[in-house]
Amino acid sequence: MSIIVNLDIMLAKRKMKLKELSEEIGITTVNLSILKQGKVKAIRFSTLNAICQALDCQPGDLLEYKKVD
Amino acid sequence: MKNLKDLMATILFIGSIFLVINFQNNTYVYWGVGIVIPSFLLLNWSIRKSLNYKSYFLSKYNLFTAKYSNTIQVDLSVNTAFEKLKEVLDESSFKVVDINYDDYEILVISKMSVWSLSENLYLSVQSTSNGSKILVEISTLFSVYSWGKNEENFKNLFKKFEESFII
Repeated sequence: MSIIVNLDIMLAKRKMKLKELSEEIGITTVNLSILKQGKVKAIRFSTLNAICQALDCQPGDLLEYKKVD
Repeated sequence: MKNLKDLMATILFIGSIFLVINFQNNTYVYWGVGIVIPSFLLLNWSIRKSLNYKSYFLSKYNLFTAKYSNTIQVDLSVNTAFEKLKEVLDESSFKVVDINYDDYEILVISKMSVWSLSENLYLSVQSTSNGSKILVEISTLFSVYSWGKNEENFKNLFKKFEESFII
């Protein structure tokens, strides 16, 4: 997919573990792990909002578009 | 095997009608039917909640259960797919009754209704070259035909699983 999820980069920047984020926003580690791998079908605005709030970042910091030829 | 099953079901049905019509005053016939069928039902009922009897319910020689199988391809590792599947099942109407963590197997049962005695769903997550697959094998408890319930259960599970990828 040409949408890249940079959740792992943001987690590293905030020195936060996936489990900590999971506990803070109430989304299971399995779901966050799948999101981190970019294997989800869609992401809800509420989820994006919660992650941005917890990591103190912008949606653009988490999602990136890369053109695939 | 499907033809043999259809033939068996037809013979049993016609045979039952024949027995009831011709031996109306014979109590042995009524006792025979009244004991054998409930005994099979009770046996299946008592052993259904264990993965150990998976082969019994899914055996092609077990003519008294209707089977259906299908697969769900997943672009995830076996471990993640197994955890995801557990999560989906916990939030669904299916009831998890047995789990084998070593072989990544789960046994769930569907809800009982007026139209069915509920079905057994044997789920196993297996590794493939491009991720993993979930093998779904469904069997009725004690019914020669599922009347579309097995297929319906698979559709429900598949829909729930697909929806779970919207996070």
